[in-house]
Parts: sequence; C-alpha cells; structure tokens
Amino acid sequence: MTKSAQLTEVLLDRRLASFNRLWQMFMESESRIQKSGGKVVAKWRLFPPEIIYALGATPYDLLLHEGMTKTTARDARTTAYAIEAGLSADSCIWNLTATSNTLSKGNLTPLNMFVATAGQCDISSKTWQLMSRNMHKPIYSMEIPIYDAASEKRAISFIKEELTSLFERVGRRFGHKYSERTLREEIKRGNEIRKLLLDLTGSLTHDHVPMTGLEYFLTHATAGDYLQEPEALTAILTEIRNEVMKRTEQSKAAPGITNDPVRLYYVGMAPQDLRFWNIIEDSGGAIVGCDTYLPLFYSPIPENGSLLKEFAGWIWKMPHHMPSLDRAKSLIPYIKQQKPDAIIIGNVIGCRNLSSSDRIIKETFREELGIPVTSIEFGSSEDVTLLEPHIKAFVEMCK
Amino acid sequence: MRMLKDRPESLRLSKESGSKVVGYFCAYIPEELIAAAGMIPLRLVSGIGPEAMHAGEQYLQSYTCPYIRTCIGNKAIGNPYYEMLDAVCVACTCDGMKKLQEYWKKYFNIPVFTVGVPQTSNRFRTRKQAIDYFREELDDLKKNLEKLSGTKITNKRLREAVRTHNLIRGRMRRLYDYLKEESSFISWRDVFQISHAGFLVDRPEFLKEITRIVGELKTTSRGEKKTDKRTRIMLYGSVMAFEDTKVLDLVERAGAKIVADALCTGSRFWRKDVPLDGPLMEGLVERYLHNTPCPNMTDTAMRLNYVIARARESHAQGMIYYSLKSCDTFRSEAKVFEEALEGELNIPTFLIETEYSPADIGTTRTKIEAFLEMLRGV
Repeated sequence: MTKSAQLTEVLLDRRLASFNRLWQMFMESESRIQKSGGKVVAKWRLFPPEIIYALGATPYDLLLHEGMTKTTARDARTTAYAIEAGLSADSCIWNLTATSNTLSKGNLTPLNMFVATAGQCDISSKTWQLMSRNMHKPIYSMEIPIYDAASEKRAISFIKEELTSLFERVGRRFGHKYSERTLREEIKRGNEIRKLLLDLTGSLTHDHVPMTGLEYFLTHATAGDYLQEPEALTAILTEIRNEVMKRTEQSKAAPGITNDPVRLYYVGMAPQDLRFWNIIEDSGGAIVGCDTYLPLFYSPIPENGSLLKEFAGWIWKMPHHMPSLDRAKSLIPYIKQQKPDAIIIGNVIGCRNLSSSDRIIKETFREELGIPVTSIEFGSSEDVTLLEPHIKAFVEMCK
Repeated sequence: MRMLKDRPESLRLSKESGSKVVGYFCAYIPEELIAAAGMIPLRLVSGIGPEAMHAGEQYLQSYTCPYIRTCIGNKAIGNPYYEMLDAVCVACTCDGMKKLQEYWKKYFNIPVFTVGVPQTSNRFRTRKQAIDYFREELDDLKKNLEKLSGTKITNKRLREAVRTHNLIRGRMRRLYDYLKEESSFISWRDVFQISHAGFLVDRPEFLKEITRIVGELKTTSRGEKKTDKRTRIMLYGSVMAFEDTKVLDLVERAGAKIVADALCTGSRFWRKDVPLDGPLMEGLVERYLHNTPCPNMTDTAMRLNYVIARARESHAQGMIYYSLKSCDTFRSEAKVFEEALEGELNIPTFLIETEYSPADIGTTRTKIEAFLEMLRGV
C-alpha cells in the first residue's frame, strides 16, 4: 500500500495530472532519505535549504514531513514520545508531533544532524536540541538576530558571519569544503523553484482560481526542502505551472471552487490536517494566497555580487521573523497582489511566536487593507472540523 | 521592606523633582547604563495577579507565558510602578519578550528601547560575531538613554554606576552564602524579598541597607548554632515574581525550607561582576552576555554547571523545578536537569508547572507534600 493510499478523507484535485506526481514525490520523502546514503540534515521549516545542499547534504523539513501525520494512518501516539522526552503537552502541536515521530524511530532514523535556527522560534530551537540529545546526533544552531530596521547593518554582518561559521564547522564535520561556486549553483537551482512558485502564486490572481487551496499549500510547502530532489521538483512544478496556466487561458477554475467564490488569503501556521483546505472550498471560498512558506520564496536570492552578504540580506528580510507590525506591513504588497476579499489568520494553540502576534497583525490588515479579517485557532487535527462553522459563517458574511 | 513600601511615593517625589524612571524586564539589560544616565532603573517583576494577567489577555493569547501577559496587563490596569515609567528597555531574549516589546511599542505611548541578545553566545566565547553584535546593541542603548535623559554617559559616571552595582552584587552573594548554613539566621524568603527590593528601591540606599544586614548577620552567626532538620530544597526555573510565593508557601507549610535558588530574580541576577580593569562597555558585554544564561540561550551546559554547583554547596536534598505555564524554554529543559542532578548528586527533581492563579493550589500542595515525603523516605 502506498502512503498516498493511506490518506484519509482529503480531496485532491485528481484532474491536475502533474500534481499527482508531486503528491507521490511528497509522500515518498521519508523513504527517499532512508535510501539516500548521504548525509541527511533535519532542518527547521524556514531555514533556506540551499545552505544544506551547498554542504553536499540532503535537507529534510522535519515539521512538514513528520508533522502532518494525523492526515495519514500512522502511529496514534502522535505526541507521546515528545512529552516523555520532556516537552510540555501545551507546546505547539507541529513541534510536538514532528518531535514525537522523529524520536519514535530511534536508531532507525536516517538523520545525521539537526540544524536549528536560533532566534526565530523558541520551541523549535528547544525541540531540535532535545532531539539531538535524545538521539545522540549533533546539532548546529545558526542564529538570525531580531529584526530592527535600525540595526540592519550589524544584523546582516552577523548573519554573514553565522553563515561563514556554519559552512566551516558543519563542512568540517561532513568532510565537505565549502565553496562560493557551489553555493551560487544551489542558489540558482533554488531560484528556479522560487520563480515557479511565484508563477503559481500569480496564477491565483485570476478571477477563475485555477488551483485549490490544498494543491497550492502542498506545492508551496515544497520550498521547505525541495523534496530532496531540486531538479525533479523543478520539472514537476514546471508541468504543474503549465497545466494551471492552461486552465487560466481557458478561464477554468479548479474543480470544487464555486463560481464567484470569496477570495481568501491565509496568513500564519496551517493546521496539520489537510482537510482544512477542503473546508475552505466547501464553504464557498477559494484560497488565493498563503504566507506559510512564502518567506522562503518571497523573492529570488541575489545570485551576483558578494554572495554571502547578499544571502544574509535576503535572510534578514524574510517576511517571517520580523516584529508583527513590520511583518504585517511587509506582507501587504504580496497580499494586495492576490486581490483577496478577506483574510484568515491561522493561530496554533501553544505557539508563542506567530500566534502571539494576532492582535497587531489583524488590526494592521484591517487598517491598511480595509477588508474583513478573521482569526482561527487550532490545536490538534481533530479540531479541524470544528472550524467549519466559523469558516462558513465568515465566508457567508464576506459574500 | 519599609523602603519597598514607601517606594511608589518616593518615586513620585523623584519624578516631580525632574528624575526620569526607566523600566526593564529581563536580566540582560545592564541597569548600570540607566543609572549612569542619571535615571532611576526599575526591574519590573512585581505586580502579578489574575487581574493583570487577564488584562494582558486583551493583547496576547491565554497560552502566552503569564509573566509576559502580566508585563502588559500591569500597564493596562495602571499599576503605579508602570504608570511612572518614562521608557522601557526590552532585551529580546525569548519569544515572549520579543512580543512584549511589540505590544508596548504599539499600544503604550512611551519609548521602548530594544536590545538584541544573541542566543548562540557561549561560555567558550567562540562566536565573536555574537559579542560584536551585542556590544553594538549596548552602544545603541547607551545613545538612546543619553538622548532620553539629556545626560552624557561619561566613563566616570559609568564607572561609578558599575562600582555601586558590583558592590550590591557582592553583598547579595554574601547574603546567599548565609543560606548554605544548616541553621541560617536569615531565611530564603527574606533574601528573596531583599533581592526584589533591589530591583526597585534607590540603589545607593539599597547598598547601605544590605551592607547593614550583612554586618548584622556576620555578628549574629558567630553565636550558638541551632540544629534545623527541615528538608532542604533548592529552587530553579522560570522568572519568579515578588508576589509569586505560592510554591514557597506550600514548601514551608509542608515543613521544608528553601536553601538555594538559581533564579533570574534570585541568585543568578547577582552573580558575576562587571570587570573594571578594561573598557567599561566591553565589561558590560562580558558580564551580561556571559553570566549564567537563561534557557533561551543555547549553552545548556553552562546553566547546568551553575545549578549543580548551587545544589552541591547548599546541601540540597531535592530540587523544585518551577516552570511557568507556556514558558517553553524552561519547560523543555526540565528533564535534562532532572537527569543531571540525579546522576551527579543523587538529588531528585520535581517539576511544577503553574501560573499566577490560585486555582491549582490544591493540586500543587498535594504534589509538593508527596515529593517531600518521598525525600524524607516516609
């Protein structure tokens, strides 16, 4: 039985032929790293995968691949291992699930190292340390300092030094010498994917929304680690783009999207349960953009000039780690471009980072965009169906 | 304690005579800079309670750390200390602190000076970039404080402030030393309250007062020693506010006593002086970035060493690991500390997760009593 067959109660757009290949590729990430034979590095969601590829290793977006498990029929003890290892049951469910699944594999895991991002999410940073300790695997923390426009110069210099240290120290451990040429090549490969993801995002600006929310979410989530095969991913994303563009040329919306739907932009962490995206369309809405992984492809990484400095500058401006007000303002041009009728902000219970920004983000969007904004809150995936009345009422109100 | 009781009124008078008051929350802010700018520093870890906590929920989710909610809620409900502030300094350490400064900037109309604190800095000082970055952040803080006060922080003024604070730290460490004795003439509760007074009252006055207390203790402790067979407990964990005596009260009522702590509102705050034998700003970086770190910092071994040393020298029989609900950084390390203390010193650790509400007093009492019975071998 393939893993895709284990998927329960989620409706995929089966008419989008190339997407089915992407889904298969997505679901086979875990077995792919098992077979890879090379160094596999578990990475935090928004850590740019180019860095790991440039070290000759394979990145694995742990939250993405080990966090969405409730959609599939895996071990029911989704958080038990993490709680036994010391995490609070009140922590962010994405981290709890990913940690628990990773720990449950014990020595069978193909992971060789954890790369944490210090300064962007405390619980991720701590869970990475916890997994490293429990699994006796090394950890390396790269720090991104707090965003403050007044400290840009020193912050970029700090990130540049952090990148240099990482390449030196992790490279030494892996027996791989860093070269600017390799990093430039990886950035070029990554930028190809970024451009495709931006094209797909652009396609959602059409009146007839050509992709469903679920397909869009999964497509842009591939920016987390390029599914371990950037070339193969580029090929599939190109096919998806072509299919989607064909739909737009024919003024065809994706199946399941009603005529004249309420156009919704999604901001924040997504629920683990993929049925959420179906609920949006069942309620008469259509997702026209989502910022969950946008910070990884918000714009191409500069390929010329002083590479590390430019890369550091790009990391500094990722629209994620900024304070709430700056983050909201930096997102506004991307949101406007998608012409939404309303915005949904997703908050994960237990998230002390993004979800604690709710009030500022909501007020800023209302003031600057003048469209309806609502917040939803979710913990474990069982909650997802409880969101349906809220979403339906919001969509109705927007109509 | 009289000094503390009179403090809101004395602050009001100081403000009337033109002094400015600058608050801060986290122990990573060098208050010497505030004092050297001729302003009054206040460390804001008092004024807990359900009212402030719930007022904070108008801004932050209920699953945010109660201390952070309180730091916003106190301003919202008009706590007298918060009402007197001319500015606040926020060290951007944990996620909660980062959010705190955002909400203060947006909703409360006073200057907020943020200071980035590199989390990857470590005891081996292997990340020069972290040291350089923090130094520049402190330079900016210095400039902001000078602008606010209209007073230049000269080397002479800074040296004077550092000297006073080093003396205070030294005296406070002496106070903590007395707790190690089997029958101490001062209780941990007293030392903890003195510690909190030191966050609020006039610092030179505070120095005089603790110098007097230390002197009295020196004389008293020469006298006859009584035996005290109460179970000796060490306390470690999240920031513990002045009025947050829930755990302390329950431990004492259950017939045990606290003999040491490694809290950032306790002994950890008074550890390590600012070196006076080099450039002072570098001295501040050394002291504040390389003091025993908060768990927000990645160097777990450094704080583990500190906790083990405190537990060993205080002859603690058990440790209470106090974690505020939603304080992920502390909570996620509880097991590491439990295993290390068991392995190194054969001392059991007990985790208490609580918040500023009396709702869990009953269950917490039962847990503490059971832990103490286990320690006593009942």
